[in-house]
Amino acid sequence: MNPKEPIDLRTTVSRRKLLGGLGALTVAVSSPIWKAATVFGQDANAKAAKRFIGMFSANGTIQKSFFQQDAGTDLPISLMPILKPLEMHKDKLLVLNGLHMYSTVENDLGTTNGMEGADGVAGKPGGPHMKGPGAMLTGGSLLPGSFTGSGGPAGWADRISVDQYIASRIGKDTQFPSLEFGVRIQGQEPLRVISYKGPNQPNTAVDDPFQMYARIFANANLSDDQLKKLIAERQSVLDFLKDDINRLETRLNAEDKAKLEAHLGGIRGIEQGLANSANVCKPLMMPAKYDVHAMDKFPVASRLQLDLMILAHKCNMTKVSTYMWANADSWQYYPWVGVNEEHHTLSHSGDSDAAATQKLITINTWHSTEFNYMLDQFAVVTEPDGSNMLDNMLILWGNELGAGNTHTYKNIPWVIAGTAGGRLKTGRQVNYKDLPHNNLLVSVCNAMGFDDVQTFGIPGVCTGPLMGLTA
Amino acid sequence: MGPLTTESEVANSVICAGKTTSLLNKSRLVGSFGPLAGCAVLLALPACQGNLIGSSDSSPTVGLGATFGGGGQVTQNGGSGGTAPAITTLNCTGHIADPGPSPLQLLSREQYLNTVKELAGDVAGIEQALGDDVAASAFGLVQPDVTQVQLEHYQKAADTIAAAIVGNPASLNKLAPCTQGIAAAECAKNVVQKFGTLAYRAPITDAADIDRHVQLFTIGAATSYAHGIEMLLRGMLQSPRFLYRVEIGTTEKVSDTAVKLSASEVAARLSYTLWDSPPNDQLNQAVASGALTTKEGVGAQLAWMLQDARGQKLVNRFLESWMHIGAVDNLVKNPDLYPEFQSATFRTSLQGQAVAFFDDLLTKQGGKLSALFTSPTVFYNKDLGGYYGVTGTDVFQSRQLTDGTAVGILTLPAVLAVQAKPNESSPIYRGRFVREALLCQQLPSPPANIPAAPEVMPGVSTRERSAQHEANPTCSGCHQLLDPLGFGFENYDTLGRYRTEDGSKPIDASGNVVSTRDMDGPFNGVAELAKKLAASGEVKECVTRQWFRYAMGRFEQPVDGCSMKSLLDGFDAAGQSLSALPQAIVQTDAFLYRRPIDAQVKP
Repeated sequence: MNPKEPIDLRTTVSRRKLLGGLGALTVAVSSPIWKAATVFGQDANAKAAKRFIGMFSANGTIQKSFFQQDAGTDLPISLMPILKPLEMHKDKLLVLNGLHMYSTVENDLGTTNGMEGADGVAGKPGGPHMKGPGAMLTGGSLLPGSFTGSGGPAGWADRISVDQYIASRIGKDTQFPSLEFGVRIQGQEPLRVISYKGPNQPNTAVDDPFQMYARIFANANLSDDQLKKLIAERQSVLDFLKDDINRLETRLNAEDKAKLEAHLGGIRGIEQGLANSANVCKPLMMPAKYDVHAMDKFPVASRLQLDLMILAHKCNMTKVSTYMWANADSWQYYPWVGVNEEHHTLSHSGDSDAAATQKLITINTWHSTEFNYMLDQFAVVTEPDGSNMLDNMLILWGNELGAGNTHTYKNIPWVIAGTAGGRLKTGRQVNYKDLPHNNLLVSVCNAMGFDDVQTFGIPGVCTGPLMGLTA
Repeated sequence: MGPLTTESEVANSVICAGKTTSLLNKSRLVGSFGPLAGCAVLLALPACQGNLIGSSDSSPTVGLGATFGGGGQVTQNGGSGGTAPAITTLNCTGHIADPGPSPLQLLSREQYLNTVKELAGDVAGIEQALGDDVAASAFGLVQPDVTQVQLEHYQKAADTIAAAIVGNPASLNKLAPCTQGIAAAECAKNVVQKFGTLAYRAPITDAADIDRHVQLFTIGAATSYAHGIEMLLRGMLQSPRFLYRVEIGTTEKVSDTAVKLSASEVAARLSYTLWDSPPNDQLNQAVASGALTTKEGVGAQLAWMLQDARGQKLVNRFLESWMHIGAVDNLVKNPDLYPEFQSATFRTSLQGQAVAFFDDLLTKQGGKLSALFTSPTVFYNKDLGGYYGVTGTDVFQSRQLTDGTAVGILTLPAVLAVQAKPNESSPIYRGRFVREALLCQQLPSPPANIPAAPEVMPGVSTRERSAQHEANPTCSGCHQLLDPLGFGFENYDTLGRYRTEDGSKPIDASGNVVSTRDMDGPFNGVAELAKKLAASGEVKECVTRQWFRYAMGRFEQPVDGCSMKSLLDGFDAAGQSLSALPQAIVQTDAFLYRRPIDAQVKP
């Protein structure tokens, strides 16, 4: 993609814009119904949709090169080396310090005083790297289970993540309730997942850009009649399956029924895709197929997945997505920026190891460069209502740890980009004093327009929304 | 039968990090803590005190370490601090049949592909339609709910299979014959019943159920008969009855907690457990003849099923899974230090070497458990000759290393490479492997906020850098369980190659075992450790646990006491031959029965 070419969604048109699923097929192109509508089936007079993206990168950060070190609670933003690539968008950023993932160690805030395993308090399942991704967007912790790599044993997270909560509120009228992107995600399952539909319901990311392309642009090559037939037949089969599940559920016990309910949820998601399966965008030009899991193709996959995600939002195929650069506890090498060593081992280096620290800064800065590429893309899009797409977004970027060499769950390097439609007062670093990241998740919900949300994740850990975030 | 465990446990107190902490204090200990119950230090350390397995009784893995035969079951104490939890005794008194839970299981990828093959032969593009394989937990024991992405793949796969069948006149005619003069809907009805019985692994008898299948056919039949069948197949191949192993059971009670499975369900359990495939003709004949209604009848199927090529591979596949051989695929090794490891064929060779060893162990070396830890036989090909200072060819050849450098799986390069870091060996990973995989002990999680690890320095050995674990009291509690065990493997580098020096220092492979039931004490080198493991009752019991988990697709639980006892007895009676494990499992309550469905059951 050309990062700087402005796009105005009020004027960009495409043949497929009018399909809008099965129902829309019967509407003639000349129908007045479509006159007031835009390319994306949105009313030009309606306010542009808010969008949420959850981003993840691994192994903690170098705190001193990430956070401004000044005292004070509310600092005008001044980007440190790791975030320097975001300079062009710094007015649209919030850097949040002092937020800890207490939910990985506590059930009631303050019970352990941050010392897991302190007298009388049992630890929670999973090693530090493993706990982080499961807690990052859920404000919860991992269930018991049998995954053992990177310190186990543990299972999947114990509750819904904020992206899926948001998708449950705003994701019903798009082709996909949400899309989960990843880049070379490896290792044991809990390390690979930040998005959860509920307890033991990992919403696993797709880390193959070609597979993602096939999902997003399925049927893009079909004619209208072919598409119409396909949609009708798919729906018949889905109806058959829903009936099948209902019949079977009456014969099973509660636990198995719950499993089939989740199955049914997936079927409904597919149905939703069918009902909104107009391909309004020109498919991305994909490169020739390559080994998507090759170590050195990481930057290629990063860019392809970003492009696909950006496109999915611009084309309103979804309003919610997540994106993971590798799994937690990542063993990725970064030779293209001169760091031909694996990230996790490097991240264990002591603070006094200047060479290793510099390499970690380089790795993290590269992630910022990629992040910036995404912001560039959204920043040039004008929405149907004339607003700016980046302004309407809330992009939340986190990590499984605060720092790799101490495995701390404290001071997670949080970045928010976008103002969620003017709700957030950006261009600042806010220093909180030891607050649970659950509060951030509440604030995210509020900024997305769900002011009824007063707690998120483990209730005993959450103490309400963060103060001082809103405009 | 008497109580299986006699050991009672009391609270201990130890000094840790400057304070006295009551052992097991408020920690919700369940699971395989039994064997570690005497290890006071482990639990008392803040860094090590942990929720070992579960935090609630209803957790799916609550019985992870249902200890058996001497360990004692540590149960939850309800979180009331300050007192040690009671140790319940696992026993089998009176033997009231209780099969434990049998949750609905999604077919594994392999089972899915084998099932498709049985139903439709080879289907081009099926693997691609199914998408990437998702790395499972050990033995796939924890099954998450299915996701939309997965369902989209099943949809695509069903479309692919249906198109392949109806696109070929011969296969269409075979699956859905319809001669002139018979109503198409009648033909479709026959397909539903005949194909459905195979695809759902259960007869379809309900008239309304058959009708709704035929309706799906009718929608497609508006275009053509073939397309009607295609629609029908698309639906059936996405039905949960196809995708999951559905078991309802019968109304025939064995006890208050157990009912018999239907003959079709027994057949499916046998075939998926032993073959990862659906029942074949011979099994379906056994269903029809009533041969599967008794315990003896079920046991009688084993001989021929294990003779089958798929059956012959069963124990081999279990060993591969247990030893994490598949993990070699995604293993990372430093490309500057280990360029040879970067080639796919090298990795394939490592896995092939393990498979060749398991084959040999089971078919030529008697297949005894002890040989798993003591066998001096190694295999090599042209990639791996360098491990043993010989030149190999394209095929694997064997060699006996009687100098003590080869002791079964403990020196198998694939195992050692998986249990190592990208740039060095890892006494921690290897120690953990022994604890978790071979002793079935479950270690607590590493704590958050640990001090920084010692830096890698040239000229300093891995063992030397681990010294901090002993010196620092916040580390030593857990690491005394790991490092002294793992040091025994220090003669093997990150690729599992034998070495005598590390960081230009001579290797010190002396170690010490603590907190085991019957193998505590010092040892020097992996060969001595191997002898301890080979003679250990705790290891023997662990094998039966691992096998239970693999075969049943779930963790053993306290209610499985009698099933586990029966399994262990069967294994012992066969002289601890690994090949006897399949016969032993199918005779357990857990395998033969299920609990009655608690909800209302439709007729």
